[in-house]
Amino acid sequence: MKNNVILKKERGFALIFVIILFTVLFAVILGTIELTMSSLMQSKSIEKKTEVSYTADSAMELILFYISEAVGKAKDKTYEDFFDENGNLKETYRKEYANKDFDFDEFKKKYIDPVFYDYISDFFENKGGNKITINIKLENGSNQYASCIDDLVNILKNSYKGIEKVDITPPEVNNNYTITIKVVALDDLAKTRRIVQSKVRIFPMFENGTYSVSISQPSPQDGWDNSIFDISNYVLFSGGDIVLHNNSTVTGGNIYCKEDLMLENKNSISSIGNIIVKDGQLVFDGNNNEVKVDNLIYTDDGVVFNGNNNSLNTKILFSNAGISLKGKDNTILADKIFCNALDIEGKDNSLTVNDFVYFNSLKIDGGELFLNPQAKLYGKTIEITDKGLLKVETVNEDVNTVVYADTLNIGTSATIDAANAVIYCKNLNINIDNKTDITIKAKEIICSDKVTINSSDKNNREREIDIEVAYGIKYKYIYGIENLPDNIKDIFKYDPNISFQIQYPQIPQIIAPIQDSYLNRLVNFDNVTKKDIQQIDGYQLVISPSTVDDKDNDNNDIFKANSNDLYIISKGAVNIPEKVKQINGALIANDSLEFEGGELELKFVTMPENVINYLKEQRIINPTNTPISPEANLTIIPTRKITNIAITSRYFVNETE
Amino acid sequence: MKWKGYTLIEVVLAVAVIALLLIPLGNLIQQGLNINVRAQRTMEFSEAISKAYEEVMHFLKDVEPDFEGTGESIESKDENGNTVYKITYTVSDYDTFNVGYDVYNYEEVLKKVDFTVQDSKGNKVKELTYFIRVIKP
Repeated sequence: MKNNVILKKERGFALIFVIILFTVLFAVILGTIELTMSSLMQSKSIEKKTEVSYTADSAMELILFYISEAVGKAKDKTYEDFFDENGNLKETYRKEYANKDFDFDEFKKKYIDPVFYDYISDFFENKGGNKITINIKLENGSNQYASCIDDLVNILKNSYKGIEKVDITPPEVNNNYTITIKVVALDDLAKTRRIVQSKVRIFPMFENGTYSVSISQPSPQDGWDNSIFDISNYVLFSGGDIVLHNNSTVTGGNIYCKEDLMLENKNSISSIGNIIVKDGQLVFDGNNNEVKVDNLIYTDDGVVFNGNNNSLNTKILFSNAGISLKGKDNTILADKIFCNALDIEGKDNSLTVNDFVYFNSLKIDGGELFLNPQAKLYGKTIEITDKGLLKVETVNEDVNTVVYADTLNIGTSATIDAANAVIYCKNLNINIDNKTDITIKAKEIICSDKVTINSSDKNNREREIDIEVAYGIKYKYIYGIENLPDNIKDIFKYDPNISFQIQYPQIPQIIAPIQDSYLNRLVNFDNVTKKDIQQIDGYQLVISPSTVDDKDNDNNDIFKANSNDLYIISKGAVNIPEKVKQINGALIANDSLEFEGGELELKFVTMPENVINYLKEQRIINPTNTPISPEANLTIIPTRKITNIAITSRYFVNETE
Repeated sequence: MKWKGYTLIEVVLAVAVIALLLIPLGNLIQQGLNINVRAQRTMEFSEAISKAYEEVMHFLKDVEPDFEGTGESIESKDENGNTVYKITYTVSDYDTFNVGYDVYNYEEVLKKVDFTVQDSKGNKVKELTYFIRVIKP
């Protein structure tokens, strides 16, 4: 019975047991499916994340591309501001560069970088200057333009699906111009976001020291000589006067002085490249001096011959003021002369020109001016009086000599001996008085305005006036023809259609940098702070912060009585003592240069490379070395590896937005 | 009393209940299996995209920045070596700029890369477009 009861109970248990079993099974299977489902969801999420990550990455690439383009544009603009199309530093900045004692790194830091970062900050800080504009190409083929970072972000966000948000910080000036870019990308269903962040460094225009500077020489031009831009080519260089007393000779090199160059007696300056008298005069104060220059003599305040029997021979003679021959028996021989007032007075003073002479006013008052065949004379006013002679040398009748003047005044005892030359003038004035003995010989005289004949001595005029002009004197107006003898009246011919234009010669290009005081800066005397005596390559190099002369006991070891192989660079004056009879080298002084006793033979020797290098090291001369001049091209070649931007970090940010 | 066993009705009921429960259970099991397969495919797809993108990026940035056109297809395989996905890509120059002065010349190019993902049967599964920036000397 007991068993039966049990059996009876077991009978009812089977169904419950099955139900429980299946419930458990169901639960287990459901759980497993849940797990599997979550695995699927995870996989899907990974898939989406992968896709969206690459979308974010791709968007970052787009932004980097256009940022790089913006930086590139800023570089282009800066480059255009500073360099011409050949990569040469522009005139203004070249002057600045030449002006200062610094190398390109410093120049870059001071001048180029601020301009570049001005463009950069305008764009990246949305300043609204619209200084750079970039062109953004869209997938539909159209173009949009962005002038600031906000424009760029908006255009990209609106045009490319998947970019939800872009944050770009302004460049951190103190952190190498680094910007942080954060791109948020979103999937189609807006369920998955990925954020990629990059730090990007904007490279400067040029990295320090990653460029090469090449200075190309200007093409040879009339009168151009690069040697004047290089201190190592000077035999005498003075920030004050240069005074040569008696019997001194200087051979070779260039001569520069800021004030006057004074020659007393029997000095000889020969085989000199150029003489630049920056602000003063070239004065031949005594007698028997001889100056021979291969290229250019420049003076701001003129050339004056006070003494006798001096001679000057040069290719180009440029005077911002006058050239005045006052003593007697002085001669100037030049190919080209540019000056304001040319005054040839005194007996047997002569000036001979091979190519042309150009002036505002010319006064031949007793002296002589010779124009060689083919030469031209250009002037505003010409006045020939008191036995003055204007003579055109002729070889044959085909000579091409011409004389141009606004006003030509011919006075007492004047002679124009130019049988084969044509004279053009606007106004021709012939002044006759009782001392007059005028001779005019020319092939033709063309007077585009009026001829005036003034006479204060009508009685004796016939014997005093000799005018021989083969093709006549042509004029528009004439006054005082009645003052002329009848036999020469026929020479004057009325022609109402006369006109001519004068093509004045160009002033040589080398004059501009000289006037711009380039040469004052060839030596940086401020860096001469202590006395320094070196033996370099067999030469004694003396660098002195004060005057170098024989009075200072310290200087006893500098000068020997006979031959001195010597370069002196003095922040003060240099006075060569009387005992010194020969120097091979060069003398450079911030103040005056004087040969105290005269009878010194100074022979220029080009500065050895090691001397130049030493002076560069001491920063006494420009470390990039000369010549740096407005006409020389200063090309900056940056190293290729410099790109616009460098990505310093790039990573995905784990944050849910 | 001797136990006479289950009655027919009891057995029929029991079998019916088991059958009723087994059918959805079987479906659930089947569904679970399918989900597993899909999850695996999704993972493989994700890996395939990742592999293709990284490979093309490396190729364009480091190997051949000038490349334009259709590249060799990139295949992803399962553990048995069967191709699961095949990705082909086409590269075109989307935008270009030069750093514009002579002495300092290089080109930055924005490459547009169109990916096409196909399954093992050659059916197109997905198309994706990404941009990659390259610097050409």
